[in-house]
Amino acid sequence: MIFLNKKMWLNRFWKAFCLRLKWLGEGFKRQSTEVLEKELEEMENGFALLTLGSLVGLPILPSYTSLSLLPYLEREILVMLIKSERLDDKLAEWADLADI
Amino acid sequence: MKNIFFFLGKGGVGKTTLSASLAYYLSKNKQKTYWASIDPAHNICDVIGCPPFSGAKEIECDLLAEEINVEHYLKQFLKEITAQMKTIYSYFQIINLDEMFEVIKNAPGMEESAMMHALKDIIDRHRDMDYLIIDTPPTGLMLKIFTLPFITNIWLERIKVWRHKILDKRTTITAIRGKDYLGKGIITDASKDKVLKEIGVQKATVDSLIKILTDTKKSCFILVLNPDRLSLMEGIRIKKALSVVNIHIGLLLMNKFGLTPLANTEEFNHMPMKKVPFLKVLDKEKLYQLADSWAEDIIK
Amino acid sequence: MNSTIIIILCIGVYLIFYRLYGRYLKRQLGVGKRDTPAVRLHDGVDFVPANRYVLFGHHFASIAGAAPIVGPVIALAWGWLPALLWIWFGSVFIGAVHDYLSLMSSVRHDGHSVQWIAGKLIKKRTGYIFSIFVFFVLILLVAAFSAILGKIFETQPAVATTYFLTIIAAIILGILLYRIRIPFALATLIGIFMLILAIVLGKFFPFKASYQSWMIIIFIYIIVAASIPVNILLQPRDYLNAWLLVAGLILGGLAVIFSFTKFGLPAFTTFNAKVIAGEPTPFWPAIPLIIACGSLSGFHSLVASGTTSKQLSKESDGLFIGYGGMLTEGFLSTLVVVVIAAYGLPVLFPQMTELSGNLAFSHNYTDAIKAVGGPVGVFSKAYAEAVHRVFVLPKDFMMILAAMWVASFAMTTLDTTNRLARYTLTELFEPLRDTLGNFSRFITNRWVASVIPATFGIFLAWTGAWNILWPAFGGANQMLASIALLTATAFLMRVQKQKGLNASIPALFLWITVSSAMIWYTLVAVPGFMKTSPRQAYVMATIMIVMLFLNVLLIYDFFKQKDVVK
Repeated sequence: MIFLNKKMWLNRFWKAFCLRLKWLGEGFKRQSTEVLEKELEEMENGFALLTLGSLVGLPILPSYTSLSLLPYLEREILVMLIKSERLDDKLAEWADLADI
Repeated sequence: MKNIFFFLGKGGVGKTTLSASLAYYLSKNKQKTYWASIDPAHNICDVIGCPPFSGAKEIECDLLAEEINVEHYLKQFLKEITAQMKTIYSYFQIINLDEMFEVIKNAPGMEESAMMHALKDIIDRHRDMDYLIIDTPPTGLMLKIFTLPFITNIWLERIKVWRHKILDKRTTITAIRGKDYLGKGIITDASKDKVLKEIGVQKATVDSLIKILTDTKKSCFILVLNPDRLSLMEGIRIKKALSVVNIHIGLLLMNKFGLTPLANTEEFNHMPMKKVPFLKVLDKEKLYQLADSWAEDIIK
Repeated sequence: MNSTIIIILCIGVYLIFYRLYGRYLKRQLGVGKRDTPAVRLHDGVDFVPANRYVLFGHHFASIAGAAPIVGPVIALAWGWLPALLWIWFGSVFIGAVHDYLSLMSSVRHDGHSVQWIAGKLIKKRTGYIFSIFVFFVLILLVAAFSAILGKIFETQPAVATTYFLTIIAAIILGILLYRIRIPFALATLIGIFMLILAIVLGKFFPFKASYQSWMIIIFIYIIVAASIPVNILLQPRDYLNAWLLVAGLILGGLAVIFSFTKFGLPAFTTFNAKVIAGEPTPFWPAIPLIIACGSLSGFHSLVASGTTSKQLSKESDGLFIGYGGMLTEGFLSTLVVVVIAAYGLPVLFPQMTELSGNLAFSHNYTDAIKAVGGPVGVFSKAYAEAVHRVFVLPKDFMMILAAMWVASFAMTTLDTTNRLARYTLTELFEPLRDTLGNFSRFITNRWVASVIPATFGIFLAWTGAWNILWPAFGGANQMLASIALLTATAFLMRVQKQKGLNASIPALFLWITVSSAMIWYTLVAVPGFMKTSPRQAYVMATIMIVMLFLNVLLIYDFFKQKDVVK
């Protein structure tokens, strides 16, 4: 009886340990793309601003081309709208790059 | 199709009249001709003396005439976009789609864009004709329409590059973090990207138009001038503006010749010029005769 | 005193306070089932709930850097006991609380930053003052880190070579991972291999250059690196740094735990040890200026309220990440203290076998550090000794590894600082756009804004006086902490309707401490600086006086608003 319990306990412990390692691994992966992701968002934001800036109040009038792209720019418009909402609070978003 | 003729010039120099004369000349000579006006102030009806009509009308044997309705093209385009949006957008609703487009319809630049697409459409639709004659709007709008393909091309190039950068970065990130990391259905592959495809479609339109316009074997730009100085000065400006985008004037027609003393034509010395007398009466026969002096050469 | 005992004690103290005090903090904040912004405002872009361990890793990697290592080295002039006491209790009562409350108040304000919240809860200009402090932090950061780096590069040329090689390694890794896109695991192995290679090659091909040359090189580096695309250098280097951190931490941690070595350094020398500018420095109020990041750091409030708060999936995770993260950094600093206390004596005074006297020690400490290559030199050598004793790894390479750990993080900070400074300048000049139109456009031009902090920073660093520059950086950093703690207090008292003494007392204590420290600094350290480098001293004095003035404005605004209920 006691033998079985020990084995179960060890098993659980091993599983938990492996899980923690997996999360650690994911943390590393995160560390390898974080800045790229931020940059990507800004680029998508820019693309949407260029083609459809009028949706957030920029005086860029949509051209024929912009409108023809409109049906496919869901994510970019979303990112643009999200980014424009927090324009007054940008400093902290970049603070974690500095490692201070 | 053998050739496309574009009639350019300052307002009132006689573009529509001369384009009419060429139209009659060609159709009389058994050439299947399509004659259209993309000038918003449609004058075709006035010249041929008939009530306004829509669509292409066969006014003579082998002669189709049409007053192009740009508004119609615009409406068509916006309708297509609206339909597509309603089916494709899954995440957020754009409220009052119709209202938004009512406003955008009048955005500066939208009209000439529609005209550019209308032009392309005309050329495509009438490939089976022998000759196309296009009567253009007065200088300002005309220059906008003809330089637009080139400007649009540059713009499309730039956003194409930008789009490729975005897709490239997405691929880099998803290669490390997982396929659906940025969201389900977010495209990373350039060959599957609808945005790039649409940019490609737009670019194809623009590219083919540019090719047609700059190929002197395919299109002939006829600049109509009057002997007075103002008309000639404007003609010079038109020539310069168009040469920037590689469009070259094929023939100069000095219309209403003899009505006023001829001003300095130095700037046009090395270009083919034909003198056309002032037409007192607008009728079919006279229009045909008017073309006699200059049309024969350009058909060769 | 034994090294292992101290480490065990540290872990013990932290665990006890994490459990007990942490529970109290949670209750105070009413941490419960409430949805976090990551859940409520989930948009798949900024607001994405993250696994608590992964988020901890991200947060810890963001707050860990070169500072928790450099600070404690300098503070050992007072002896290891005062340093440890500040690291442990400063962290537990002030620093970790600061981090935790910054995180949670951000979570309760839809993920907005502490700067934004300060603007809302205290006064609008408090947010603006925050930006000014950040700007000063950035300049002084460049100054302090450049000076520290210049010192280690000059004294240990092997580290310089390794550093260059790691830049190349990062660039290669970037190409492999982001352009060619080889499998992630393979790229990681190649990256780590290149790191090791860099360390080995560094030893055999040291690159000698004068301190001034390094200043110029670092200046050029800051300007250039901040302008090149991130996937070329910044991103791959960030990734390599994560491995460097893990390796350094594990090797160091295990080496110390199994060391069982007696401390060679004195427990306590004197209250007024010669630390800053070679003048007798009172332990209180100067210690927060010396040991910042290991115990309390204002910049962490930005990190906590930046991305971390937007990715917290449960409110209960906040303690682990905010409070726990800071304690882990405290553990890191403790490690540094222990390593040097146990193995530092032969490094600093190779002639001495035993300590001749505590006072003599504190007098000569700073000079001794200078001779070995500054704080980084001392740490890396002591670390090498520690790891060698337990793992029998060659000392030369371990020394380079340890120095690389600090240098790599320091350089990352330097070029990121430049980008942040550009943004901060734009923020600062925004209200002046109408009145000072042309000037403001000039200042916020990308290149001008890059050059300004780099120029001031290197100008100050040119003197090589890291023992004057470091506390200035610490001071500016703690000014940020002041604002963050005052904001947290305001949050507890006005929004949570709590007495909040556990926030207000540290906040006021900090305010008084840092103000006194800076006044002391301006009256004692700056004149000392004036003797050697008058121009730099004037710049420093100006910065100090401006900060002191803003500090007074800050506390005035805080109390004035006290009566206004939200």
